[in-house]
Amino acid sequence: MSNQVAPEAFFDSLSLAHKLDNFLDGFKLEEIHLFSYFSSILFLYRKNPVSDWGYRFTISDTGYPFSESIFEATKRHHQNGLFEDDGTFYKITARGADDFHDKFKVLPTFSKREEYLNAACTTSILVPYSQTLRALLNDPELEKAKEIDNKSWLEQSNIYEKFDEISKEVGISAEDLVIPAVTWVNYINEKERIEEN
Amino acid sequence: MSDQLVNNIRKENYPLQIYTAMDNNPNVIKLTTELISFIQDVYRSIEPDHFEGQIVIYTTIDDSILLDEDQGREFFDGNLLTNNKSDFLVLQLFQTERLPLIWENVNPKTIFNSDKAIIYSYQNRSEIFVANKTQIDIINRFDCASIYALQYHYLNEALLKYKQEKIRYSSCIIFRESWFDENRIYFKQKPEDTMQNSLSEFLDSSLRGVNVVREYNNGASKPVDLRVYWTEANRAAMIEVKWLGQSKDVDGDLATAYANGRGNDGLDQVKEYMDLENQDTPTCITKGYLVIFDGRRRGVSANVLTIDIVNGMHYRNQEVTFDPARNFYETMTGFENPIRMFAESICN
Repeated sequence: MSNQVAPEAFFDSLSLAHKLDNFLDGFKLEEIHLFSYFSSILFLYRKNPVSDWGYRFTISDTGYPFSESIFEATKRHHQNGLFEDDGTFYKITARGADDFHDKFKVLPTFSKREEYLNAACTTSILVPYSQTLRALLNDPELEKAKEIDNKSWLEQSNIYEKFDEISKEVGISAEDLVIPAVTWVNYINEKERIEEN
Repeated sequence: MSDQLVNNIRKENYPLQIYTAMDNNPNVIKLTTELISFIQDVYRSIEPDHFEGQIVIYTTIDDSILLDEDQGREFFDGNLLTNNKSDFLVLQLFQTERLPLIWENVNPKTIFNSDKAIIYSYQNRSEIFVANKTQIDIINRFDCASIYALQYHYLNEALLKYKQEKIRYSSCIIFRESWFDENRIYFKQKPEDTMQNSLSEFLDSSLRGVNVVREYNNGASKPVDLRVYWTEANRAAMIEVKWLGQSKDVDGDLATAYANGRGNDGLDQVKEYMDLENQDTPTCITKGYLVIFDGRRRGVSANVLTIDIVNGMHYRNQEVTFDPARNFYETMTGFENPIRMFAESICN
């Protein structure tokens, strides 16, 4: 009997696939890792302990965050016919979408994660996707890990502090996570632009 | 953080600006997200770059309708928008489960005075939000009409990436097969097929939600080299591939050579494709592209096996000049500027 994958990663990867496919017309598996990482930062921003997210990240050779749990979960979804691919891009199948809506999204354990997953993916509607992608891949923690070639867990608490500081400076008063998520993306892009000039 | 940085972050955070303009109403964030998502859906059916009127898409915090409802109709079929020639197109999105409304040729001027509306307006490659009478400019850093209709922007970006990363140094392993010699002075005879294959593979793996078809037959005198079409938006691109340079046959003898004038043939072909496509598939928005693989070298003859930098790179910065009578890319909507991709030789 094969091991069961981490339930949080199982749900998150299905939910993210559903959203990214819907917003972007297809997704790459590494984008599932990237957006689950961004969701976990939003989870920290809400003052939840990082250990409660359920799984952690390292950095991959391509510079994307990488979670073994997400890797196993996406492999399982593909094997089970919930994802299909055309070589480069993946899509969620009709069965995958049904499973997400009818079986998993309704469960209270998972539904509370939706707030973070949803806010992370919504940035790809509100900000042109190439800008979102560029920002998330230039996240200071990922940059630091790339510079020192660090293969251990990404240290997410530092990023939380920066995130919190920026949100306060910009003057975010809303409870909703979408505005801080967009602010974070804009902050990284704007900082890059200033540095380039 | 500097004030400039904070201001710039705020400036492009449209949900935040709209939220602030609407007196920090918490429902506004969800409404804004839904509105932007709806704008993107609308743009799956209409290409703002080809539309000459004003597009206004709005929602209100209490679902009140700001134009005469009798003049509007329910909107559910995107085909209504494709190739629409109205001076004004206005759409209202609702929070309740009802279909959006559409008004054609109704001037929406009055709705901009509403304190309940979140309004998006597009006209002539300029777009804004207006929330509670406050204008919020949308910053567009792309080479496209709207930041919410990026299909062709992503295609242009992919072509640029292909030119710089795959063709300039012949890094694409498929394209590399089109060279006769290791120093990349001569193409093989009839390299078109390899070039088309290289570009087709690259676009297929770079763009989301597209199908790339080679040798697409639309009834023109020759099939279109590549047709890219988006599966979830009514967009397509016809790409004609031409090459410039000297080819050699299998025996190493000089074969076909194409110089500057070859580009003109390509322009004529793209025009023919677009004319036919616009007649036969009016429900699909099409742009035409001419991609020129430039492998021109100076001073080549059958016996030249190596080349120095002066001759090898002579044409690197020399753009193709086109017949002014064929400047369709300046006069025809949807005809894009020709893209020349210079492939460098290995020089002594």
